Amino acid sequence: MYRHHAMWNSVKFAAVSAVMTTMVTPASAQQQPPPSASPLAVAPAANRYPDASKLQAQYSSVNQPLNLPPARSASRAASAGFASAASVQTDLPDGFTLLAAPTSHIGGSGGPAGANATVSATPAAGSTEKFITVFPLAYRGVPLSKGSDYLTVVNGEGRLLVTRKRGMPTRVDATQPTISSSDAVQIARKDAGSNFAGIDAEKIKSDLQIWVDDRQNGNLSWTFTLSVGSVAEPDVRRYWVAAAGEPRVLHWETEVYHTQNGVVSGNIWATSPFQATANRPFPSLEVSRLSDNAKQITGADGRYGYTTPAGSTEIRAKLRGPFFVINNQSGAGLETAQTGPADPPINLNFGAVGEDQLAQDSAFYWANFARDLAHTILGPADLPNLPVLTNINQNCNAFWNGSSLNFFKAGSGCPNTAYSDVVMHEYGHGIDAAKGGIIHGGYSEGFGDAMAVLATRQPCVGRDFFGAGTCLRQASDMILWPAASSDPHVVGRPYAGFTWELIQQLKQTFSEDESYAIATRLVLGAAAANPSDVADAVRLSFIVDDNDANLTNGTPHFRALANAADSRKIPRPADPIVGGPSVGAAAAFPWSQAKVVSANANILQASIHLDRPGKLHVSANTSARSAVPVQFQTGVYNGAAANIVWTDSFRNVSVPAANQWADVSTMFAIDLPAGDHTIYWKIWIAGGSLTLSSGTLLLEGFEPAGGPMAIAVAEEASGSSSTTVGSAATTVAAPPSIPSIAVSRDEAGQGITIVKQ
Amino acid sequence: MRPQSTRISSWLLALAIACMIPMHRTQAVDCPAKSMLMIKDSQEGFAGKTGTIWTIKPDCSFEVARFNGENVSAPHAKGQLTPEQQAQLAAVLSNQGVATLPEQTGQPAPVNSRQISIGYDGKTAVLDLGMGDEAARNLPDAAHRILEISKAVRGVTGQ
Repeated sequence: MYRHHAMWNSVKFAAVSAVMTTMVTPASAQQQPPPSASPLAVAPAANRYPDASKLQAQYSSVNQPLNLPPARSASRAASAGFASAASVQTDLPDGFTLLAAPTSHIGGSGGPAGANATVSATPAAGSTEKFITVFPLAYRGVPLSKGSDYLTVVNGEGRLLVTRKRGMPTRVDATQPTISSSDAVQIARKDAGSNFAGIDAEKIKSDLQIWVDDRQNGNLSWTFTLSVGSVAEPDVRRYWVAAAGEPRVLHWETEVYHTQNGVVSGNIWATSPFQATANRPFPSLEVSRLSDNAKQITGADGRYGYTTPAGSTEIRAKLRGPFFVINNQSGAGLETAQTGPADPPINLNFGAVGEDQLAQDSAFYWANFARDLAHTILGPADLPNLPVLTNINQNCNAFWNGSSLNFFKAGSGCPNTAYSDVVMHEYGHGIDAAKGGIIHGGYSEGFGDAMAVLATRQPCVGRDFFGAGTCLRQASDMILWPAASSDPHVVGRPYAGFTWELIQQLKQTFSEDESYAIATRLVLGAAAANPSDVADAVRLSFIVDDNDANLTNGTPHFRALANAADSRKIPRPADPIVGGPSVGAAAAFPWSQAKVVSANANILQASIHLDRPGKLHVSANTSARSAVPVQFQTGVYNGAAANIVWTDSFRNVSVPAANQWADVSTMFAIDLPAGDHTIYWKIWIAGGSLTLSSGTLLLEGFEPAGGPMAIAVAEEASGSSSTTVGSAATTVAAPPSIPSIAVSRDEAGQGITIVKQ
Repeated sequence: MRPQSTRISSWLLALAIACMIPMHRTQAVDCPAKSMLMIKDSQEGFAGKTGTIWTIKPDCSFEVARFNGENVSAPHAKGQLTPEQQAQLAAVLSNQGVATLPEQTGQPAPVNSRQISIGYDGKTAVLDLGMGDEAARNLPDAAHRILEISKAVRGVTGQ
């Protein structure tokens, strides 16, 4: 018997483990490779590989002598295994037994060990010599699944140094199956999907094992392997299916491992050529293995992996893949290559130096980024092997020519144009062409800019295009539909603005990632339907968003879409018919003790409470006269500053003759969030004075379009006015004044008009 | 015996005459551009319409300038055609029938058009090149004529 010493902590074990794994271990001696030798670390994320980290492991430092007879190394290894098994068997809980296992002989002066060992006739005394045995376990005669085992490490002097119990179940549900093996295979086959449908369940060999889950429960299971039988696209899985209790898949993992593998990356312009570069993995890139000319395509994380073995060989790559082929115009295209064996991974890097090379890397990376962004609407046959011409000997432009993407060199004050914003825009034309053809230049340009906005998550399309700090087109600019211009880039600007505004609207409800995902789906969904023009594209986004084939009752993101369309005055489907509860509020002032206004002022206010986001209708009406003809403006806003009104409530009014009454009114509708809102009615006047008759401000709130019933509570608005009014009317004839106004947006993203006070 | 100053004067006169001959030949006498010849090669794209303008004046001096939208930059190249270049250009203009080019050849692409125009003797001939390789393979005769003239102008101006 030996006495257990204090348990090692994980740090100590990590250090020891590192020493052990750096020892030279003959391949023939590696009967059971340690977990660190597994190709897990380089496996594509899409596959499911074993993960023993979830199994509980208990290490013990023993340092107890065993009786090892002098012999050749192979015999000594076997003796070490037997002796250590005999020593630790008594440490096992009731019902558990060790199963036979080979012992690995590592280090020392004995030379190679294992089946081919021919040297080491004498015991090696070196402290580095180790005999390592991983004993599988059984519970009442049923083997435990891999990972549940007992490790012993014996040194060359015959001392048991370390033991490890791993994956020992705290309970086992059964040792006799109640589910047949063929039923278990059927369950697994169904779980594996249609690729495995052709498998004959009767021909699958199954074994009983105890599968230990991550709660350390032992589950009696049938285990077997399913394979689709394809060499080109291998898919081989090992299953563990419950053999007792409820029929269910306990676990499966892939058995397809890779030989040469690695990551392909390159450095690119992360934003524009005036900004910093970044190293990124290159997806959808073809790598070639010299020994058999086998090709592999990198995955989303830039990884490639061969499934067929090969010795040490060269892995080579150019900037080409299934979707894009860089065709450099200024010289030879970039290539990279590395030579090595199957392990360790062979990573390739397109280390670009200078403008010409960075342009190639950037064009390839961003083109694939664009492709991935649009992958939901692009089929495999759409835009395959698209040539990307880089470093064309011209400046300040880039273009799609119907069958290729084309980017110019730096010069004339412009950077090289093969960078993110520009690539996204040009590939947008490609998408438009692939989805029924480019039938509206303005939409196509706007969609290209929308692609840039969706990809770069900022509003400038063409950052630094005419020099550091410049911006070619801001999607946040208020360019209203229809943009009258012969330039399709201008015609398309309201659509890029719609896209940017849609994202801003969605961000009021969703996270940034969710907002961009939703906006991408709605904008690309419209693109898939080949819009006739900008207005049609916006209409199609509503249709894409609709979830019940009925636009009249709204769509899940109706308000965001509607507000985005309204922000650029793009036609859109009408708001859903409003029914159910509504709330109202009003305020008024009388005609007696007439209100006089001679400067920019709030003349009335009313408050309303919305318990959910809702549509607010605002109506305001009075009459005004003046001692002299005068022009003035009126409007409403939900802020007290006298110089701001919502742009769409802004009205120009005139009193055409002295002491003649003129009607003063405005009507306006707006979506507002839940909460208390005070609406202020304003008059802007300079160089004159108004006398008002009685006036009324009405507020009506309705449930939000396309949303749930919304408004349940309303507060009566204040009936009294607390407006600021000017001094009494003057008799001095002042010329009518046109105020200096500017259009902008408030913090809620609403269009506002501001007058300089 | 003539004075040395007389000999020097005669030598300078002969030198001046000798120098005048090539100077005379390089000026406008045989210039094929009887009026101003202008080639404009434009490409619409990400930043709108950009390109290059070649101008050959009646005295066979030339300028090459880039443009971006409505903005034409200062010429980045200027020069004078040699007699050989004048002859070469004259042959191309004659062979391609510059005076009989149609006003419009081809159709503009829906986006990112490439356009080459030739202005000569008060007339303008415009070639719109369609998109992609297919369009390039099916050019009408007038398109080839315009492309040949454009190519010749680029050749003689070294641009």
